[in-house]
Amino acid sequence: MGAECSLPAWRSSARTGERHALRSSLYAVPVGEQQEAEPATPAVADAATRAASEARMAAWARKMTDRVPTGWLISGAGAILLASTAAFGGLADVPKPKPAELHAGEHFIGSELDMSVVSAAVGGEVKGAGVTPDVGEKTVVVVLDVTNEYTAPRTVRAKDTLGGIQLDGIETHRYDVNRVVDGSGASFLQPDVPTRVRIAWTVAGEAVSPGDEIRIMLPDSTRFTGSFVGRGEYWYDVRPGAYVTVTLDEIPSVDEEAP
Amino acid sequence: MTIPPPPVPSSPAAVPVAPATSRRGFLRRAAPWALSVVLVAAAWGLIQVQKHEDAPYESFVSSTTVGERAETRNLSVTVTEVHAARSVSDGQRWRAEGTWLVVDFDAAALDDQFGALLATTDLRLGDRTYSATERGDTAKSMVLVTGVPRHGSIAFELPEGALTGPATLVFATEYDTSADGVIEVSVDLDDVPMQNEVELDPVGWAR
Repeated sequence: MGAECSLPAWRSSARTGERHALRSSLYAVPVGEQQEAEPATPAVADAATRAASEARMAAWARKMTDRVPTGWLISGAGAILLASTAAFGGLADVPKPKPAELHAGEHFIGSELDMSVVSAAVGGEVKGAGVTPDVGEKTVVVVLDVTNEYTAPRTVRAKDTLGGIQLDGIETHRYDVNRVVDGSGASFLQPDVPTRVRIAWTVAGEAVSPGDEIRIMLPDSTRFTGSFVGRGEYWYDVRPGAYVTVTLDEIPSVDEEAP
Repeated sequence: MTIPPPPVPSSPAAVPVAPATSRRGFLRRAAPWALSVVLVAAAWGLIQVQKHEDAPYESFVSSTTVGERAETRNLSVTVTEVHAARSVSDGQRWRAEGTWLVVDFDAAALDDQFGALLATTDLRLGDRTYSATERGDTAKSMVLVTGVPRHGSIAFELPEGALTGPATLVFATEYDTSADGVIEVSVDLDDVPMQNEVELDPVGWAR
């Protein structure tokens, strides 16, 4: 009961269902006592003037908008759209840029990496290649000069970096990347530091033989900087950037170092 | 659509315009404009003092210099020496030519040894960031011990001619240093003499 007593009077009366008339001036003003006191207060006259001027404004705005040649504008915009579409070659697909066709020693810049194939060779088990072929398999070794042109280290084995390099038309199994200079496994490419790496794949024995010409696909991609919901840098839309045609040398025997 | 004809305006004579009323009317009209201007100005001011979008991810930086100890969350680092070198070796099998910055340091965990390792060892030079080389036997990703500093060296492989100007070494116990503590050590590379060969300190207890 104590809690109910602390409620405001209007509330407690509503709860208890007492039929009190709402006396507060907040809720009801007795009609006919104040409104009809004076017929033309300044406020009422003011409102009338304002209503009149608003109506004049509305009429003027409508007259003006009626003068706008909407039909002509729509037709004109459509004509401009069609004409500009036709001028830029119509609705036909834009021809995609073809991957460059390169040879050994030529540089290709893709995925913000400067890549240049030095040589390619095929052998059985190649010491220092990092991969061991199964029975009936061969090792293809590609020597590549690479420089990271981005401002931060890049991982070597990602699809947008050296992990995206493929032998065109040849199925590869195992894969490894080492530095030529000391044989250490390459994990990161530091910015602007030129590095010569040895990329090795194992392939089916009949797929390649010395003297063959192979095409090495170098990847290209587009950098995306995450913002608002994402963070960091991503390279997306990984696509063939260049094909490098190289003749496969022969790596003579197991004991020989890779080139 | 038709527009209702405008109501006939009451004659001006019927409305006595007192100067007090017009002033009040002017105030009543001006107040929303003034308030709007104030609000727009306030919004502009708010944008000026607002931090940028990635501010919640910024690292908590403890800055120090070579020879001075710095602490951050679960990591204390003292860079004892910085060398510039034309070639570097780990005293065992590995040796490499190039342009190298070798950093000798002591590092320890502060409260928790579990999984504590020196994950981030970076060098910021100009607008580039380099990570410590994974080549050779270095203290990269060194395991940390709580309260007992371990000593080791890391090496940065840099492009030729890069060893100049101010640089910052960055140490942290996580790979992702966002919203976490990092130790930054400033180094002026112009003050670091170039040596022909530098041997990395073996990883061990600090002395």
